[in-house]
Amino acid sequence: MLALLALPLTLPAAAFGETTGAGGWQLVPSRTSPLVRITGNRVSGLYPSVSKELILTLKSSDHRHSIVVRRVRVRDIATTNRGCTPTRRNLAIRQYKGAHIRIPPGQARSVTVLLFMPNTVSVACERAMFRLRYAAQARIKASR
Amino acid sequence: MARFLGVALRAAARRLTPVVVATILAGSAATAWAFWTTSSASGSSGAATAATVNQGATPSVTLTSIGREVSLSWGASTLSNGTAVTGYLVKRYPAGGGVATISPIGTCSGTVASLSCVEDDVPPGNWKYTITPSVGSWKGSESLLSGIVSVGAAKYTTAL
Repeated sequence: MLALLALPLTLPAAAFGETTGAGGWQLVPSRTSPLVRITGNRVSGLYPSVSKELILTLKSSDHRHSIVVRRVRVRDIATTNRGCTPTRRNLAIRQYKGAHIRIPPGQARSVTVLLFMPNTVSVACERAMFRLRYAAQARIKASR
Repeated sequence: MARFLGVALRAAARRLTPVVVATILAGSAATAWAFWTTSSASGSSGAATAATVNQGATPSVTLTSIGREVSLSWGASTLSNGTAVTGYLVKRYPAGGGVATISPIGTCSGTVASLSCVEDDVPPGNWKYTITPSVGSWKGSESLLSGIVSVGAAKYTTAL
């Protein structure tokens, strides 16, 4: 009984598969080969109290299924300058909060994220390069 | 009889509960959606670069007719991306070298938002000036030293 109740909790995290017309399961690409590749424009010229748009392009490499991206997240993970930490005091990221993004098979969609450099930015961040990492959470719609 | 039926129904309900739960779960699992999370694929990363503040332009200095008042002006400074800076710090150095200072009297103390200022109550002596462009807490390189401005001692005239 407990095992049955635990099943729906464990399935979403582990089920890298889809139901097929025959009622069986087939694998979809796992974490090591995602179907959505995210690229962004190069943002430059940040300085205290300025905002810049980061336009992310989400490209689906799956030509059979539509994909619904439920969440897009941008993180600053490192900088090139010693003393300039990748924190909110130095670079604030206003995440995408819009509706889910449906990407038709093999196509791409864009979303905009705002990068803001607050007045609290460290002097050490002058001329720094912030390394950004993009991640998305998506669902694939299986053809039935 | 009724009591017997009640006990029997409760027992049947206990036996059937796992079956009902399993049926619901099976129905849920048959939806047409599979779930996965994309993480940082190669190419799913990028960068944003910060600008830097350029060096300030060398200021021009003149002694005004008042005598102990120095007027300064300078060209606009920019960030590395061409954006104008928002302020300037003005410093006065002894012409022979020494510690910088600025009089609090006049418009040159603190952060100056314009491209000119006037320093009043300048002590007698030979002085040179610099400006340093700033944006927020960021500062550019200090400008080169201006030409020398010579301020004479104050003259007091007493009417007899």
